[in-house]
Amino acid sequence: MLTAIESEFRRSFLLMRRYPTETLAQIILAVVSFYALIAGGQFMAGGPLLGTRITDLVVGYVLWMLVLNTVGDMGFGIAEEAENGTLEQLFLAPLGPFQLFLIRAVVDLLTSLVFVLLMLAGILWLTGLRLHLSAALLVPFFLALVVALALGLLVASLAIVFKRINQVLSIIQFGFVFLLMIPFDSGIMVLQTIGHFVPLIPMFSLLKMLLHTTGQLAMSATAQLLFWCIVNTAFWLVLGMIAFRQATAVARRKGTIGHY
Amino acid sequence: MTATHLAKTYPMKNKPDFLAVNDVSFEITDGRVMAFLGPNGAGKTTTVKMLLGLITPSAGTIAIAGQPATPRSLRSVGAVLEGSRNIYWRLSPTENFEYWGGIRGVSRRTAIDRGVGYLDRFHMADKARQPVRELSRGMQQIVAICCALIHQPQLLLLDEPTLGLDLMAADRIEAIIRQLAREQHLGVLLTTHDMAVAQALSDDVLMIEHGQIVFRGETQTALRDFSAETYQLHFSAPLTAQAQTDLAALGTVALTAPDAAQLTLAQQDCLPMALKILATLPIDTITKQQVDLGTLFKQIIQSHQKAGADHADRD
Repeated sequence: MLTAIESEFRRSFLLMRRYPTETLAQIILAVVSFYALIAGGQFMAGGPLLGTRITDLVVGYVLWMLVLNTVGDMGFGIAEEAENGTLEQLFLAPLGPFQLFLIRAVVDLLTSLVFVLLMLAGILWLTGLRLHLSAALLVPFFLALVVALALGLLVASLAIVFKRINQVLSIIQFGFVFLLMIPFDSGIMVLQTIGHFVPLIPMFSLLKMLLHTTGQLAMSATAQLLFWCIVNTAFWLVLGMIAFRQATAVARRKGTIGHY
Repeated sequence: MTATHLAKTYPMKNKPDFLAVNDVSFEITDGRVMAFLGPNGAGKTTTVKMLLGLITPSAGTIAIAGQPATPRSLRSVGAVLEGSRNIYWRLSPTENFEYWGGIRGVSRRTAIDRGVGYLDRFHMADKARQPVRELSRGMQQIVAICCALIHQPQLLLLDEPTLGLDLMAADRIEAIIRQLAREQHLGVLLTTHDMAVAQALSDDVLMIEHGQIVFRGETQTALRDFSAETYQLHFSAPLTAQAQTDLAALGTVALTAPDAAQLTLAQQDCLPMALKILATLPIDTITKQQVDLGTLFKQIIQSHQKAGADHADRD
């Protein structure tokens, strides 16, 4: 497994290094898009976006970028592998496809993380925003990474079975923006319950709470949100793993690993 | 690798199920090259993919070194699949060796040393760091074969390795496969439509038609046995339909020209009867033919198709 992990990291690094302008352009585009979002928001609001609103935007944007990149890497990546013909060779790895694609999802996620952190640095510099960072943020952020990984596995499952999923991926990626806008933590019971199981929403809520609070945290509210973060993570991880195993079984039964 | 009673059925909407592979059994042995031949759609690629675990069989078992095949046992197997790029075109050969070796448990250094060693032997050392997409089709295929061997498997499955290659490139691939198979005592299963390559490389031949094995045997023995029964006939006038029918009753007749035919007798005992028939015809020359694998293949498939048609007529 160690050699496989090294191979995946190396391949990812080589491709990024081989096409540096592509990587740089993505980061610049992400930062500029956010700035355009802020400018648009201020225009609509008729004045500057203050305090918590801009913080929420930054957190939401970072989470959205994480999903965008992970879903894109896994989904489009696998579809491209199938089209190129290398997907079948990947399935011949003695590790088995689940372990191999899990390793690949982790590598893609860590690569996305570097991208997202660079993007975040760019956004903070451009907007002059200061975030109240603390070690506590690492927990919901780590759980968010795990959910992004699980989404990557889900999308990989779709790609293995259906191959051409470009439009579906676009719906997932941009649909997530609308999910982030829904006020799941508004206090309405039904919305709250649904929000506990929507990917990344409990983490979004907890990150916002931690970033907004400068003094003492409300322990029970924090603990409750943390609980739902863990439930959300476990739910999507199990779903992602089951979906992947089912997808590979279906593709093998139909004989469609290499093609539709 | 042993395949036992392998079968694969695909359910079809509003039609009977499609039986792609039907009760196929064979063994690939260390140090021997088996040519797996069949017309398009006969079931070769489906069989190969079942051996590799890419398609789940509907029935039958696969064993590697006497044990039921598992993903782990794929450590013993390398494959170059047909119609696909088996390697990453955006990476160089060296980078491909690192990657494909790494996911098969080979350390980076070992994978590079082995791969570059192969390239050196095949006079491609100067291409080691060039992106694969910049190499010729033949060189790409050589790199793919090297990647398939990077983890030193005992079995190598090659699905149409010379497809789309020019003559020189195909000859080079043939020489490389022969060299590597002998040196590394590999068991090789080779599917190909290139009969010259199959004949040059194979120790054993297996033929499949409509999902069923129709012939198996040692290549040289089969060629020798079939050569004993094959004759090239030249006539001084076009062969009549009646004459063709009379001769076809003793074996298979393939018209090569209106006044020439190749006759393969079903068995040697038919020779006296054949000569009796020929004595009544305007025969010019009778030449005993050294059969090649292509001719053998056509005869086997045609006689199987003919037997199938006769059976259908009787039904």
